[in-house]
Amino acid sequence: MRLANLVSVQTEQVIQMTRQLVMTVAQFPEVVDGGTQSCARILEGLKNIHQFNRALLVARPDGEVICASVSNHGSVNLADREYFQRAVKTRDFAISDFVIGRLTGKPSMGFAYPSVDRTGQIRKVVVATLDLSWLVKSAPAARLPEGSVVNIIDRGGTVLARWPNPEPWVGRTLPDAQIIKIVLSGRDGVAEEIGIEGIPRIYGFKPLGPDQQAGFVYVGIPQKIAYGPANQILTRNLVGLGAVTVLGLSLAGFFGNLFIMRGVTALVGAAKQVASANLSARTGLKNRTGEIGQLAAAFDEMATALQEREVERKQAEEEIHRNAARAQLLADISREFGAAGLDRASVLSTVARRVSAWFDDTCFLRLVGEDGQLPESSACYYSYPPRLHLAHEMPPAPEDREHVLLSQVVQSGDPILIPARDPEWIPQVYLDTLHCQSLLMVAMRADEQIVGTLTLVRDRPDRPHTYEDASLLQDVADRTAISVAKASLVETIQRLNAELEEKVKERTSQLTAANKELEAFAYSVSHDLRAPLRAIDGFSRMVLEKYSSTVDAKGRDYLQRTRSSAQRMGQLIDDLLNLSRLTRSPMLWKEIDLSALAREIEAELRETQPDRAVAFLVADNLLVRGDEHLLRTALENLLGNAWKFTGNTNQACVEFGVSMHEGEPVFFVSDNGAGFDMEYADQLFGAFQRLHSMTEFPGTGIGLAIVQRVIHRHGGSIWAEGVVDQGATFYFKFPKRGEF
Amino acid sequence: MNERQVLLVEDNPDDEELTLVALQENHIGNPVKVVRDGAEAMEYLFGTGRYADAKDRVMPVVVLLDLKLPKVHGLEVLRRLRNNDTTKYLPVVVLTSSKEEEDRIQSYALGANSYVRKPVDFVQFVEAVKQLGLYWLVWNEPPPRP
Repeated sequence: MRLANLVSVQTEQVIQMTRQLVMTVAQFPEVVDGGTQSCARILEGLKNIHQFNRALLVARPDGEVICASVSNHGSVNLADREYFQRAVKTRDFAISDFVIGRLTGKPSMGFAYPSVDRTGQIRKVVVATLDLSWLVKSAPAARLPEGSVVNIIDRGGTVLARWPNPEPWVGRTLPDAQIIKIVLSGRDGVAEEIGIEGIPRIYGFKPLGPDQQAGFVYVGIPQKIAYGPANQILTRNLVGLGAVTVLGLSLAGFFGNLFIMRGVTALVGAAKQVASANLSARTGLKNRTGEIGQLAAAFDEMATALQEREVERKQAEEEIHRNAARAQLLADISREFGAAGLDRASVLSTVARRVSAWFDDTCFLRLVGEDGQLPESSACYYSYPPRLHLAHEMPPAPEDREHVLLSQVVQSGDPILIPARDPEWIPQVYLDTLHCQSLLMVAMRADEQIVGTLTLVRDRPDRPHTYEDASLLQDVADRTAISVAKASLVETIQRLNAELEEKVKERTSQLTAANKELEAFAYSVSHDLRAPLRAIDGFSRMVLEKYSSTVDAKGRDYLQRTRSSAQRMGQLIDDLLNLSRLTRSPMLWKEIDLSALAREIEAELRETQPDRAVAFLVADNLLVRGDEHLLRTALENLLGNAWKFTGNTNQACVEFGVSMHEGEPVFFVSDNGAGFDMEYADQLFGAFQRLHSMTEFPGTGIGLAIVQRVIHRHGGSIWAEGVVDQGATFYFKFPKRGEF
Repeated sequence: MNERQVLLVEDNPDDEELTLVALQENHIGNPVKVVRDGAEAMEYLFGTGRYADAKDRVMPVVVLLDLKLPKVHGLEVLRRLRNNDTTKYLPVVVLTSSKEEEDRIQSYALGANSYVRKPVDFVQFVEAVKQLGLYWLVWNEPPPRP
């Protein structure tokens, strides 16, 4: 677009210059009155100056060309040219549409100016034809990306000039091509289209000259380059600006060489100054009449144009710098976000500091509350140091007017720009405390969600915020929003973690308290519950011994029962304490050889009843990781039970080994003893639950409860199978390594 | 007064009676002084409080100390005895209902000479008292009097 603009402006200027030239030539007496010879001499002298004017002709009013700057003219008549007729008729300057030149055979424009004598008679007509190919000559200097094109078309859609590779296209009429249709619509603009040769490009286009008289220019950059990696918009801007700058520079050189009239010192001097970049240099020949005056005026006009160009170039350069600085700001903020490590407060203060310093404004950030409500409290505020103390005086909650602004920004997502001290809109506290002269507020947007607002308050009336400020602030706000959203997520996870840890701590302390209570209870039980039993047993025994003569046989039996009950209760209390101790004692994990433990226990059992013949089958290398004391207790109970319940069995057999169960190895202790009814299998492991009477098999019913507790403390499980009078098998397994 | 005295620290009168009967059944005729809480035990041994002017107060050859006592716990009594020059070598047998591991560790750590759990079965209890009496009153040589 910028290049199209430039080509358009260039064209207009060239038209103006050509106009000056033909008018000047028409003033020459040799032209007005002279014949072919003198006329040709003048044209020869001018030929070297106008590089772009391929042809300069002088014709009689009837159209017959009498002399021309190009030699090979033959007998050319211009009477049929519409612009020639118009010049003669209106006695004024006339310009043609773009045409294919009669003499040059190239796309060109015609200029005609009548040369009038003192009597007002038209004596000659000076004609200049302008070769259009020069218009696209500056294109290579613009260093457009590879695959770019510059095209000039006329109103009918005929390609008049093209860079690069003009040959196949110039002269062709393609009014149906989509891009040409768009260009011919007559407005300035930018479009993405497939070009006439089928390559998708981004096009900038613009009519040439006033009233689209001269046709249209359009410049295309291939999409894949324009939409390259990284910041597309930025790239596009920079490419556009670069093209403009280079074109501007090439123009300076171009114009610098222009109109240096040999022998005209002032012009040369001024031109030298222009060449040495003093663009305010003028010939000072403004009021001179005649040829030099004309040329001087033309030069001055050129210099003015050049100066304008230079100003524009400088603006473009400034814009490039500004863009680079903006890009730097965004990059810096992004980098600091990374360094801030996703902590929300750091993200906010980083943005506030950076933005505040960049704009030299006071910067406020407000976050939308978790309930989705308006930003009620200022999550973060910061100001450039000189105004920091003022910012600290700001109330944390927004006042009514600020509330209105905030809600509008949060609801619409659009920025608000108040570039003046407008007391109707600007919050009072900004006016009073910060002397606000201009206010800019944008939404921080992440994934179409608005997480907060970013506000700039400026206190200088001479420099209100601009739309450019708004767009930069929006860029910053959106980056901030993403970081804030991420930081919020991290904070949420951290909070949940902390809550979880707190809960675990709470539960742990509850458990510790419960354990302490249990210990106190157990202590009390072991001391206080046994003492009365000792008294019951002791005094019963004393009665039996010392007063047996006064107590009959039945009385003695009762006293005997009293004693055994007391003793049994003592045993129960001891078992109960053992069970509770199993839960409380800490575990010492190590590799345990269960086979070896089982053999030790077997030996102990054989010692208690040496006369019994029980076959013990213990598999080798039954290794497990666990607490030796607990596992020994469990095995003692399991093997002890097997020993006990095979007491009435002939050829008693006890086996300890490993078998497969549902694809997993499980330990088992089996016997061929009394067994049990599977109907009561679920009662087996309950404390003090017994499936046999005391007279059948003695016991307190605590053994299997202890076994189960030991296995559970190791993270394992235990179950049993049995048939009455055929034996019982107890299976237990431990979790695989790493599962527990 | 030269007879070897036993100091029984016991708050439960049943246990006191059973202990005395057990000594009697084993024909251990040594005098037995009974105190009924930890505070009284210390007053007797240190000659303070109600025993400050007691003419019949003698240093026992062995103390049978229960742990769960009113006022001052048995372990605290033991600790104070060991911190006092007049009693630091005095033989102390912890005689209690509990066999809690913590109690045993603490007792030995504080310098108990022995730890005996009172069995519920009276026959066993009588046997235990017999062994204690024989050992501490007959065979054991007490430390020299300070």
